[in-house]
Amino acid sequence: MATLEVTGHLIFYLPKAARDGTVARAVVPPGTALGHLPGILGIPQEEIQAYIVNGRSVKDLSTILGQDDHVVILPVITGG
Amino acid sequence: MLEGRAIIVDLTTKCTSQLAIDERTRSQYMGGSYLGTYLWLEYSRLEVDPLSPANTLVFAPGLLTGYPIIAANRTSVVAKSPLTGLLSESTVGGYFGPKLRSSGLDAIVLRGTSPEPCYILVEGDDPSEVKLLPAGDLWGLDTFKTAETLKARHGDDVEIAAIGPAGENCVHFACITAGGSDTRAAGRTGMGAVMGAKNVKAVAVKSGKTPRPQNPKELAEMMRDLAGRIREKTQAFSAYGTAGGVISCEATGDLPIQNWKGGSFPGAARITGQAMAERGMVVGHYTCWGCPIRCGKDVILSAGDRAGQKSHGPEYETIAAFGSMCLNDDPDYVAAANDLANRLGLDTISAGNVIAFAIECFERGIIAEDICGRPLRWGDGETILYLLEEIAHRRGIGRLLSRGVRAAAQSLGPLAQEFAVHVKGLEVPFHDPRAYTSMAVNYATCMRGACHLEGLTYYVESGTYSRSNLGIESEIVPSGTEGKAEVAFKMQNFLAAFNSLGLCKFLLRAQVTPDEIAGWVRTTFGLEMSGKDLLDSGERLFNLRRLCNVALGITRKDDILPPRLLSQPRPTGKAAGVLPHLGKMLDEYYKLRGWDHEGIPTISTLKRLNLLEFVGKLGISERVLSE
Repeated sequence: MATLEVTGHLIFYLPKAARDGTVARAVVPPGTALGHLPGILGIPQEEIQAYIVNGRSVKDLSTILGQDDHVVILPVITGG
Repeated sequence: MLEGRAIIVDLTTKCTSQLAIDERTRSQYMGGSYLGTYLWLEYSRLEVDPLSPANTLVFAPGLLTGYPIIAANRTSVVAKSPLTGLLSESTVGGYFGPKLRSSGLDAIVLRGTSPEPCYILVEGDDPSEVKLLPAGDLWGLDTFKTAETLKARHGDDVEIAAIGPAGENCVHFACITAGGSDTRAAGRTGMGAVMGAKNVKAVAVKSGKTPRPQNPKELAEMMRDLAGRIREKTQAFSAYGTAGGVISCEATGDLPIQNWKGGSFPGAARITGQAMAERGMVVGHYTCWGCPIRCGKDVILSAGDRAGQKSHGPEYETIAAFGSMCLNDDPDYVAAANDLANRLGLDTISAGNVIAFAIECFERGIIAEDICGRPLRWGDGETILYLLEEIAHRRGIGRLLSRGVRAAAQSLGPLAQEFAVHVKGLEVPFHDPRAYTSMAVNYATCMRGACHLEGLTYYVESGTYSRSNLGIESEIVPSGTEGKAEVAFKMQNFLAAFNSLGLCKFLLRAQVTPDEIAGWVRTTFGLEMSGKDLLDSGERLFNLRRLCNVALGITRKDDILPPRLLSQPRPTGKAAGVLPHLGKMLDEYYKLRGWDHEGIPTISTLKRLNLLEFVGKLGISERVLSE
């Protein structure tokens, strides 16, 4: 399975059980496209700033995740 | 249509008079910060002592404030700042500005000092309708109680801008609060202290006539389109307010932690707006005049003397101030500190910086327990509440801290100056220039000292505001230097225009463009204006204020960040190891601005912006200017 680490306010879109401090964790099956993650997780796409796949920023939303990929999802920041 | 008027109140003699503002002046200086600066320079000299009668205090709603335009509700307060020593301004939303506009006034100018406490009641635009009334019974009341008392006295349709005990005691970072418990504040640079020094407790404005735009149908059409975009783009903002951003800012390394020396703060998950909502703390929402976002929140307090009462919910900056900056992850104490600071009339950004600075001084043994009156501890809510009271009443350690971190550090010596975080005397707001490095050049060059709202360049870096709206072509990488000067230059010009027009900057979330805003001005006043004209007017205001700073001795040596932000990287988190290369960005920025290597506008720049006349007026020697 590919592992996901959701950060920032985006963790509040995931169930409490998935949250661990300031991050929330989830897994998706290999073969999932990066662009499908918002729909799977219930996170609005416009609130996502970046996807970091195995430590590198990936902008191509058609990227297919592999078995051991690790994705960090960063939020668009807000604040006053 | 563009002629305007201001009321001049001489507090010393209790005389009021009217000043006609001709069409040419108003079309050039518009309103808000720009008109306020123009009027201040007409009545005061830059060398005045900020707390003396000679420091004029101007309230000026933006040009569009009060017209049927979404989020056009802000008023600027302009005076020389006791905190920075610079000509400064602070803006406030809520309902005060639209009410002032409905009275028919473009500005209220307060001169001199009242011999005894007073408040000002505005019932119209004629001098006879502006009254100075005794405020002996109000002196000492907090800002909420002051607003309640004046509403009970003059009716619910009165809107009030008031100071609390901090302003009365001339704390250098006292604010002016509008809206009572639905708090909105002209927070920064100590405008509340200037008002307190004048013995003015409040300005109360009664209802008047709603102004009509020249072409209401066309304007309504524009607003329908804008309202849809705002609703779509600000859903999370409506639900949680700015507080909803706390945990995301922590994730991106933007949230300052422990007086700017930390890198990560797991406690952010407890004090973010979403967590407060989940705990049931948030019990309501409120909005400023003419705004569908409703970013204001009501909370129930659970700590401090007012546990069980309803109050204004803490915003992002305040949560950083009394939360992560002090390593406090107890949302009840954050909310209690917010309530207390608002009642006392303290700017929460400066107050949070000052308190974190004081705790670090105590931790390092620079100030002893007998001076502090009690141990000052990280993560201790009672420490925060105690220091807020001491500062507002200038008691004990509060006397030292009430002048801000720069003055306190100067008194405490070089070691304390190493971790006193300010620019030009203004404490740094809570967006870390090591996470979004455009904020370094923005903080270094802002007109009033470290200010996030003069540039909001992190909006562009993070993608919250599209760079293409301002014609910025190069991609912006958060930790680098490429393109950052251009972002600061363009955003500062754009947002200076916001301050002239009285617009809330959260409109940026709906991707409003300079052309679009110029359309609102055209439709409202019939004034021919393009997006470029709007940006040019912002550039002119920015340079006028720079000239004021130059006249006060500001040069490149002052366009600097404090040592902690320039040379000490965050140890952990997403921004770990990043330091802003300020010198390189500053060189590029000065070139874009048409300033010389020392940061002084050149003669050709001043000619281009039609500002040369101010050189003599401000007492600047022509010898310091280069071609």
